[in-house]
Amino acid sequence: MTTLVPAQRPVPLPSPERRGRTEIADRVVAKIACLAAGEVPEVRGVEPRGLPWAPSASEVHGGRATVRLNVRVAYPAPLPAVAARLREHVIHRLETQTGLDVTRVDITVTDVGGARS
Amino acid sequence: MNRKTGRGNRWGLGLVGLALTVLGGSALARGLGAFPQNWAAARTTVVDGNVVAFFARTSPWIWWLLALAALVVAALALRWLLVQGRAEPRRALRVEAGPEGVTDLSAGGIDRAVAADVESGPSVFHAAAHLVGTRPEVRLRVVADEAAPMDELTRHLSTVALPHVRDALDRDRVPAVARVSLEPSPAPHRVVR
Repeated sequence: MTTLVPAQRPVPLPSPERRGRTEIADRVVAKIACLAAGEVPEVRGVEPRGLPWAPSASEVHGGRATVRLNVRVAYPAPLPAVAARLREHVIHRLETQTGLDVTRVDITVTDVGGARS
Repeated sequence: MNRKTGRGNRWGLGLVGLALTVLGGSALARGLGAFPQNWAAARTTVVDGNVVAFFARTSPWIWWLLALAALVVAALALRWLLVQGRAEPRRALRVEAGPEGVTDLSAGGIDRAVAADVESGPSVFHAAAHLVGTRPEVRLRVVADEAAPMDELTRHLSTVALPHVRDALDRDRVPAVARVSLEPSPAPHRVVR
Protein backbone atom coordinates (compact mmCIF):
# COMPACT_ATOMS: atom_id res chain seq x y z
CA MET A 1 0.00 0.00 0.00
CA THR A 2 1.38 3.34 -0.84
CA THR A 3 0.50 6.74 0.47
CA LEU A 4 1.33 9.97 -1.07
CA VAL A 5 3.21 12.48 1.02
CA PRO A 6 2.88 16.10 0.16
CA ALA A 7 5.91 17.47 -1.65
CA GLN A 8 8.35 19.25 0.63
CA ARG A 9 8.38 22.93 0.24
CA PRO A 10 11.94 24.07 -0.64
CA VAL A 11 13.66 25.99 2.15
CA PRO A 12 14.44 29.49 0.95
CA LEU A 13 18.23 29.90 0.47
CA PRO A 14 20.05 32.68 2.24
CA SER A 15 21.23 35.55 0.13
CA PRO A 16 24.25 34.62 -2.04
CA GLU A 17 26.84 36.57 -0.03
CA ARG A 18 25.93 34.61 3.10
CA ARG A 19 26.36 31.15 1.59
CA GLY A 20 29.74 30.08 2.97
CA ARG A 21 32.68 31.51 4.77
CA THR A 22 35.92 32.89 3.39
CA GLU A 23 39.12 32.18 5.25
CA ILE A 24 42.46 33.57 4.30
CA ALA A 25 45.45 31.44 5.25
CA ASP A 26 48.35 32.82 7.29
CA ARG A 27 50.62 32.01 4.37
CA VAL A 28 48.64 34.19 2.01
CA VAL A 29 48.70 37.13 4.38
CA ALA A 30 52.47 36.69 4.78
CA LYS A 31 52.94 36.60 1.03
CA ILE A 32 50.87 39.71 0.38
CA ALA A 33 52.75 41.50 3.17
CA CYS A 34 56.11 40.55 1.62
CA LEU A 35 55.05 41.75 -1.82
CA ALA A 36 53.73 45.01 -0.38
CA ALA A 37 56.93 45.55 1.61
CA GLY A 38 59.00 45.08 -1.54
CA GLU A 39 57.14 47.98 -3.15
CA VAL A 40 58.62 50.49 -0.70
CA PRO A 41 61.50 52.12 -2.62
CA GLU A 42 64.12 51.92 0.15
CA VAL A 43 63.49 48.24 0.84
CA ARG A 44 66.16 46.06 -0.74
CA GLY A 45 64.86 42.67 0.26
CA VAL A 46 62.11 41.07 2.32
CA GLU A 47 61.62 37.72 3.90
CA PRO A 48 58.87 36.45 6.20
CA ARG A 49 60.00 35.84 9.76
CA GLY A 50 58.58 32.93 11.70
CA LEU A 51 59.00 32.29 15.38
CA PRO A 52 60.09 28.98 16.90
CA TRP A 53 56.54 28.29 18.07
CA ALA A 54 54.81 29.91 15.06
CA PRO A 55 56.62 29.14 11.83
CA SER A 56 54.45 31.41 9.70
CA ALA A 57 55.28 35.09 9.46
CA SER A 58 51.66 35.97 9.96
CA GLU A 59 48.78 34.93 12.16
CA VAL A 60 45.12 35.43 11.44
CA HIS A 61 42.56 35.20 14.21
CA GLY A 62 38.97 36.15 13.61
CA GLY A 63 39.43 38.90 11.06
CA ARG A 64 42.61 40.25 12.65
CA ALA A 65 46.11 39.65 11.43
CA THR A 66 49.62 40.20 12.75
CA VAL A 67 52.68 40.18 10.52
CA ARG A 68 56.42 39.82 11.16
CA LEU A 69 58.94 40.72 8.48
CA ASN A 70 62.71 40.69 8.08
CA VAL A 71 63.84 43.42 5.72
CA ARG A 72 67.01 44.77 4.21
CA VAL A 73 66.96 48.54 3.82
CA ALA A 74 69.08 50.88 1.71
CA TYR A 75 71.92 52.65 3.53
CA PRO A 76 71.86 55.41 4.73
CA ALA A 77 68.08 55.74 4.52
CA PRO A 78 66.45 56.87 7.81
CA LEU A 79 65.34 53.57 9.29
CA PRO A 80 62.52 54.80 11.56
CA ALA A 81 60.93 56.69 8.66
CA VAL A 82 61.32 53.76 6.28
CA ALA A 83 59.86 51.39 8.87
CA ALA A 84 56.88 53.66 9.42
CA ARG A 85 56.22 53.93 5.68
CA LEU A 86 56.66 50.19 5.27
CA ARG A 87 54.22 49.46 8.09
CA GLU A 88 51.65 51.85 6.71
CA HIS A 89 51.93 50.40 3.20
CA VAL A 90 51.69 46.79 4.36
CA ILE A 91 48.66 47.54 6.52
CA HIS A 92 46.93 49.44 3.73
CA ARG A 93 47.64 46.74 1.15
CA LEU A 94 46.49 43.91 3.39
CA GLU A 95 43.33 45.72 4.38
CA THR A 96 42.32 46.48 0.80
CA GLN A 97 43.26 43.05 -0.50
CA THR A 98 41.98 40.79 2.26
CA GLY A 99 39.65 42.93 4.34
CA LEU A 100 41.50 41.83 7.49
CA ASP A 101 42.32 44.28 10.27
CA VAL A 102 46.07 44.31 10.68
CA THR A 103 46.77 44.91 14.35
CA ARG A 104 50.55 44.63 14.30
CA VAL A 105 53.46 44.66 11.88
CA ASP A 106 56.78 43.83 13.55
CA ILE A 107 59.80 44.71 11.46
CA THR A 108 63.37 43.57 11.94
CA VAL A 109 65.97 45.29 9.82
CA THR A 110 68.42 42.43 9.43
CA ASP A 111 70.78 44.16 7.05
CA VAL A 112 71.33 47.50 5.42
CA GLY A 113 72.75 48.51 2.09
CA GLY A 114 73.24 46.38 -0.98
CA ALA A 115 71.65 46.32 -4.38
CA ARG A 116 67.95 45.85 -4.98
CA SER A 117 67.07 42.17 -5.27
CA MET B 1 81.09 30.15 22.89
CA ASN B 2 80.79 33.68 24.19
CA ARG B 3 83.17 35.89 26.07
CA LYS B 4 81.89 34.84 29.50
CA THR B 5 82.33 31.17 28.65
CA GLY B 6 85.86 31.84 27.44
CA ARG B 7 86.74 33.51 30.73
CA GLY B 8 85.18 30.61 32.66
CA ASN B 9 87.19 28.13 30.59
CA ARG B 10 90.43 29.94 31.38
CA TRP B 11 89.63 29.89 35.09
CA GLY B 12 88.54 26.23 35.00
CA LEU B 13 91.58 25.08 33.07
CA GLY B 14 93.85 27.13 35.35
CA LEU B 15 92.36 25.60 38.50
CA VAL B 16 92.48 22.04 37.14
CA GLY B 17 96.06 22.60 36.04
CA LEU B 18 96.97 23.98 39.45
CA ALA B 19 95.37 20.99 41.23
CA LEU B 20 97.15 18.49 38.98
CA THR B 21 100.47 20.30 39.40
CA VAL B 22 100.14 20.25 43.20
CA LEU B 23 99.21 16.54 43.24
CA GLY B 24 101.95 15.54 40.80
CA GLY B 25 104.49 17.67 42.62
CA SER B 26 103.67 16.10 45.99
CA ALA B 27 103.88 12.58 44.53
CA LEU B 28 107.30 13.45 43.14
CA ALA B 29 108.36 15.03 46.45
CA ARG B 30 107.25 11.93 48.32
CA GLY B 31 109.24 9.68 45.97
CA LEU B 32 112.31 11.83 46.46
CA GLY B 33 111.91 11.61 50.23
CA ALA B 34 111.07 15.29 50.82
CA PHE B 35 108.34 14.50 53.39
CA PRO B 36 109.08 13.35 56.97
CA GLN B 37 109.96 9.66 56.68
CA ASN B 38 107.86 8.56 59.66
CA TRP B 39 104.77 10.12 58.00
CA ALA B 40 105.24 9.39 54.27
CA ALA B 41 108.27 7.21 53.65
CA ALA B 42 109.77 7.35 50.16
CA ARG B 43 110.10 3.63 49.64
CA THR B 44 106.53 2.52 50.45
CA THR B 45 103.35 2.34 48.33
CA VAL B 46 101.12 5.42 48.31
CA VAL B 47 98.35 3.54 50.14
CA ASP B 48 100.55 2.55 53.07
CA GLY B 49 99.73 1.73 56.68
CA ASN B 50 99.07 5.36 57.59
CA VAL B 51 96.43 5.76 54.87
CA VAL B 52 94.72 2.48 55.72
CA ALA B 53 94.70 3.50 59.40
CA PHE B 54 93.21 6.89 58.51
CA PHE B 55 90.30 5.33 56.60
CA ALA B 56 89.77 2.69 59.29
CA ARG B 57 89.61 5.43 61.94
CA THR B 58 87.19 7.69 60.02
CA SER B 59 84.94 4.99 58.53
CA PRO B 60 82.05 5.02 57.77
CA TRP B 61 81.30 8.74 57.55
CA ILE B 62 84.40 9.42 55.40
CA TRP B 63 82.76 7.43 52.57
CA TRP B 64 79.65 9.57 52.70
CA LEU B 65 81.83 12.67 52.63
CA LEU B 66 83.77 11.34 49.62
CA ALA B 67 80.53 10.49 47.80
CA LEU B 68 79.24 14.00 48.41
CA ALA B 69 82.48 15.53 47.14
CA ALA B 70 82.32 13.34 44.02
CA LEU B 71 78.74 14.50 43.37
CA VAL B 72 79.76 18.16 43.70
CA VAL B 73 82.67 17.63 41.30
CA ALA B 74 80.38 15.82 38.83
CA ALA B 75 77.80 18.64 38.99
CA LEU B 76 80.49 21.28 38.40
CA ALA B 77 81.91 19.29 35.48
CA LEU B 78 78.46 18.88 33.94
CA ARG B 79 77.78 22.58 34.25
CA TRP B 80 81.12 23.37 32.68
CA LEU B 81 80.21 21.11 29.77
CA LEU B 82 76.75 22.66 29.32
CA VAL B 83 77.92 26.29 29.27
CA GLN B 84 80.06 25.53 26.21
CA GLY B 85 76.92 25.78 24.10
CA ARG B 86 76.10 29.25 25.38
CA ALA B 87 76.01 31.64 22.45
CA GLU B 88 76.72 35.33 22.27
CA PRO B 89 73.34 37.03 22.79
CA ARG B 90 71.95 38.28 19.48
CA ARG B 91 72.43 41.98 19.46
CA ALA B 92 69.50 43.99 18.25
CA LEU B 93 68.63 47.60 18.67
CA ARG B 94 65.02 48.58 19.24
CA VAL B 95 64.47 51.47 16.85
CA GLU B 96 60.87 52.10 17.83
CA ALA B 97 58.01 50.42 19.63
CA GLY B 98 54.43 51.44 19.09
CA PRO B 99 50.97 49.93 19.27
CA GLU B 100 51.23 48.96 15.60
CA GLY B 101 54.38 46.90 16.09
CA VAL B 102 58.05 47.16 16.91
CA THR B 103 61.01 47.86 14.67
CA ASP B 104 64.30 46.17 15.51
CA LEU B 105 67.66 46.59 13.88
CA SER B 106 70.13 43.71 13.98
CA ALA B 107 73.45 45.19 14.88
CA GLY B 108 75.42 42.96 12.50
CA GLY B 109 73.91 44.52 9.39
CA ILE B 110 74.59 48.12 10.31
CA ASP B 111 78.06 47.19 11.63
CA ARG B 112 78.97 45.91 8.19
CA ALA B 113 77.50 48.94 6.41
CA VAL B 114 79.37 51.42 8.63
CA ALA B 115 82.62 49.48 8.22
CA ALA B 116 82.20 49.47 4.43
CA ASP B 117 81.51 53.23 4.54
CA VAL B 118 84.69 53.90 6.53
CA GLU B 119 86.72 51.64 4.25
CA SER B 120 85.65 53.71 1.27
CA GLY B 121 87.64 56.61 2.76
CA PRO B 122 91.05 57.71 1.56
CA SER B 123 94.03 55.58 2.62
CA VAL B 124 91.98 53.25 4.81
CA PHE B 125 93.19 49.65 4.56
CA HIS B 126 90.68 48.05 6.86
CA ALA B 127 87.85 49.08 9.16
CA ALA B 128 85.57 47.37 11.65
CA ALA B 129 82.56 48.96 13.32
CA HIS B 130 80.37 48.03 16.26
CA LEU B 131 77.17 49.70 17.31
CA VAL B 132 76.83 49.32 21.08
CA GLY B 133 74.28 50.24 23.70
CA THR B 134 70.63 51.14 23.55
CA ARG B 135 71.51 54.79 22.96
CA PRO B 136 73.75 53.66 20.21
CA GLU B 137 77.41 54.51 20.12
CA VAL B 138 79.76 53.64 17.31
CA ARG B 139 83.10 52.01 18.03
CA LEU B 140 85.45 52.03 15.09
CA ARG B 141 88.73 50.28 14.53
CA VAL B 142 90.52 51.68 11.55
CA VAL B 143 93.78 50.60 9.96
CA ALA B 144 95.08 53.43 7.81
CA ASP B 145 98.14 54.31 5.77
CA GLU B 146 100.78 55.94 7.95
CA ALA B 147 101.92 58.16 5.08
CA ALA B 148 98.48 59.70 4.54
CA PRO B 149 97.49 62.94 6.28
CA MET B 150 95.39 62.29 9.33
CA ASP B 151 92.95 65.12 8.73
CA GLU B 152 91.80 63.45 5.50
CA LEU B 153 90.70 60.46 7.49
CA THR B 154 88.99 62.48 10.23
CA ARG B 155 87.28 64.58 7.58
CA HIS B 156 85.99 61.46 5.87
CA LEU B 157 84.70 60.12 9.18
CA SER B 158 83.02 63.35 10.24
CA THR B 159 81.56 64.30 6.86
CA VAL B 160 80.61 60.93 5.37
CA ALA B 161 80.65 57.88 7.60
CA LEU B 162 79.23 59.32 10.82
CA PRO B 163 76.53 61.52 9.20
CA HIS B 164 75.35 58.36 7.44
CA VAL B 165 74.97 56.60 10.79
CA ARG B 166 73.04 59.57 12.18
CA ASP B 167 70.80 59.61 9.10
CA ALA B 168 70.14 55.89 9.26
CA LEU B 169 69.29 55.93 12.96
CA ASP B 170 67.52 59.28 12.62
CA ARG B 171 69.32 60.68 15.65
CA ASP B 172 70.91 64.07 16.05
CA ARG B 173 73.77 62.73 18.06
CA VAL B 174 75.54 59.39 17.82
CA PRO B 175 78.78 59.38 19.83
CA ALA B 176 81.68 57.64 18.14
CA VAL B 177 85.09 56.45 19.23
CA ALA B 178 87.62 55.58 16.56
CA ARG B 179 90.83 53.69 17.25
CA VAL B 180 93.17 54.25 14.37
CA SER B 181 96.31 52.22 13.85
CA LEU B 182 98.76 53.34 11.23
CA GLU B 183 100.60 50.91 9.04
CA PRO B 184 103.07 51.32 6.24
CA SER B 185 101.47 50.97 2.85
CA PRO B 186 102.19 47.63 1.22
CA ALA B 187 105.22 47.81 -1.06
CA PRO B 188 104.21 48.24 -4.69
CA HIS B 189 104.64 45.10 -6.71
CA ARG B 190 107.65 45.26 -8.88
CA VAL B 191 107.19 43.62 -12.22
CA VAL B 192 110.33 42.32 -13.92
CA ARG B 193 110.07 42.00 -17.64
